[in-house]
Amino acid sequence: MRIMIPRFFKALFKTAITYLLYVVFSSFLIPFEGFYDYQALFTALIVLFLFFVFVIELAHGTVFQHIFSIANSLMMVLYFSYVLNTGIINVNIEQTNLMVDLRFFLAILVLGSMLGFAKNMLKLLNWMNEREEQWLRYQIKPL
Amino acid sequence: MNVPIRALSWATRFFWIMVLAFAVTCAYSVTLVRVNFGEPILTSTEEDFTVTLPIIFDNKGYYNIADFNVTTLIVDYENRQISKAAAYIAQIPPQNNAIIFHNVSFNVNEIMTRVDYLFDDSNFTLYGSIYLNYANLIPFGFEANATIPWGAPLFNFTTDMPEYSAYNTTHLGVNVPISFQNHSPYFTVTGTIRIEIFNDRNQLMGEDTASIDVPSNADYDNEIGMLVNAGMLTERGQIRVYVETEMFDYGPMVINYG
Repeated sequence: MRIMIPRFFKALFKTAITYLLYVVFSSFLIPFEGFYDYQALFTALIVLFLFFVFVIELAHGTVFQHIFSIANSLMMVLYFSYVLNTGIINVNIEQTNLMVDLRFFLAILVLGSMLGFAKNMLKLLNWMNEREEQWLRYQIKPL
Repeated sequence: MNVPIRALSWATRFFWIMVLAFAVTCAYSVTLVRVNFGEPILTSTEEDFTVTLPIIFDNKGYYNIADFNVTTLIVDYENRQISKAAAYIAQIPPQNNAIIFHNVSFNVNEIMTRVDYLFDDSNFTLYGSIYLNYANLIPFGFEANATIPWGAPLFNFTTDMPEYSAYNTTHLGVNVPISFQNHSPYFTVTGTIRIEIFNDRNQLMGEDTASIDVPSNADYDNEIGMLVNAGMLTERGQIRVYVETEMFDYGPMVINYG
């Protein structure tokens, strides 16, 4: 409990900072408010991302930190791959049609997420390796 | 293992910072791009009527605009193409502006060969599109359509039955009442109306020409008179009407009388 309470507040603080960054970032998107159809997708991404920021920090120092990190990167890969299929954004307003092709940009995001996934897998392997080494050291000591 | 992980962590962090910076600056940059339209310039030759629309594209953003393409297509109510025009600029670098002269040409003779354009009001549809490649990464397109009203220059063109009056022992005066409305908001109908009267043996009995000058949205209501040989006059015959203007020629419009 003594460890969990500061960790909880740290996780909360990190989530709040991330949310604040999102608010600042979204202010740049005010001119694109017509993209209502895509707002739900974007909100879903933000909610999931904030959730993972919180749980990763909460599970800091445990195997779950790495598992959640991997899940987070995997979620990002899947999310951007899904969005990539709908990467051509079309907005119809009365007699006008606006089209933005974000497929190349989304492909970069998928690649970035895969890089994160690889890094988190390595981290998990390293963490398990270190745990094993510690256990071995503990086992060898009495000899 | 720690060193590669740390290197990968920094690479990932650097990657996301770069992507985020690009996304934010790109979104902000778009708001700095200004598009203004200059006064349209009208030029006409014997065959063509051209509207030149200057488009001033001010790229105050941080990124390059490539493959800038403006296309306009005008079709009539049956989707027949009336005019198609395109303008292209390969590059508009950041902090630069470009003026594009978009020329939309209309072949007047071709348009006026369509009889329904002369006599019936209609609507043309204008399809406009702009395509560009922002920052050489993000293709962007904008399409719009608008309705252009077309007013017939000879709307409700009517020729009433000829009225006869005695002139002398051998000739009769014939008056043919003609009326129409110039619904065209774009031009004045200036030219002549020529009338020929034929009897049932297809002999030309008389002809006359009247000059016309009917501004936009004005009515024309007049009688064109001529003398015909009373001996050639038959109960039935034809009136042939020819309209010759600066913009178009039409005729003969055949009206049977009797």
